[in-house]
Amino acid sequence: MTTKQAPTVATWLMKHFGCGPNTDAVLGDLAEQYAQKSRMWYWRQVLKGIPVSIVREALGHKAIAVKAIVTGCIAWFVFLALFPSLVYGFTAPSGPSFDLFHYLAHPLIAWAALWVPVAFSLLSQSGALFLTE
Amino acid sequence: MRKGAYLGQFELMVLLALMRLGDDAYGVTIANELEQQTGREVVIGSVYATLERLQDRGLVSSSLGDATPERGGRAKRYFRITGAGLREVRDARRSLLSLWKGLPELKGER
Repeated sequence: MTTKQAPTVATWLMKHFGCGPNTDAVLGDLAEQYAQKSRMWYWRQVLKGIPVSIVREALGHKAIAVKAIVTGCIAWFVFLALFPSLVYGFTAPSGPSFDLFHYLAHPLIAWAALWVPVAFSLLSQSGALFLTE
Repeated sequence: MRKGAYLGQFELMVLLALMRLGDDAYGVTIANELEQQTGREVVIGSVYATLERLQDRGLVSSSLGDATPERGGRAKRYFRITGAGLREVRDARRSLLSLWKGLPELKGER
């Protein structure tokens, strides 16, 4: 008997961006259920499960979440200062709209897209977040 | 445990599912039980997030089971309701029944 192979990319996303002490158990449950479910169901479970686990961990570890956000913003500003041409091209835009975008939107984008999932994923995999476990 | 924190609706549903399932309560069976009883799809990740929160409050306990091939070699995590959890459910039931009492029957009921 062959077992149905779960979508590889979705599994990878859950493994690396899903956080919490039970990510492995969640993946096991998804693999078990996937035998009777569709590919769409699996993706839905992963895409809804990742934000839920991130929010749960962020609320459960507020100090670490704040540090991650601050670090992400600082890293992004340093990156912008060192390599502006990589972000804006060779002609940097100017004016008030640029300032607003620069100072508000970019750090938020950087934080949401990169830092929080990565930081929590790394910390949860190293066990640093779950010392009581 | 947080003093004075009420159980949320989903938390209460998860605790009731644990009570119904007894020793066989893990992610898949809990999600299936909730789906059967509510008729709505349940995200397994949400079930775990809720269980972790309940565990932090001392309302459930968990233990690891065996890894099986159909789970990709990953172990099941079994959950049980604790004495404190049972007390919370009892309190929630009492409060809800008391609030329901005396209300006129809702349209579509029966």
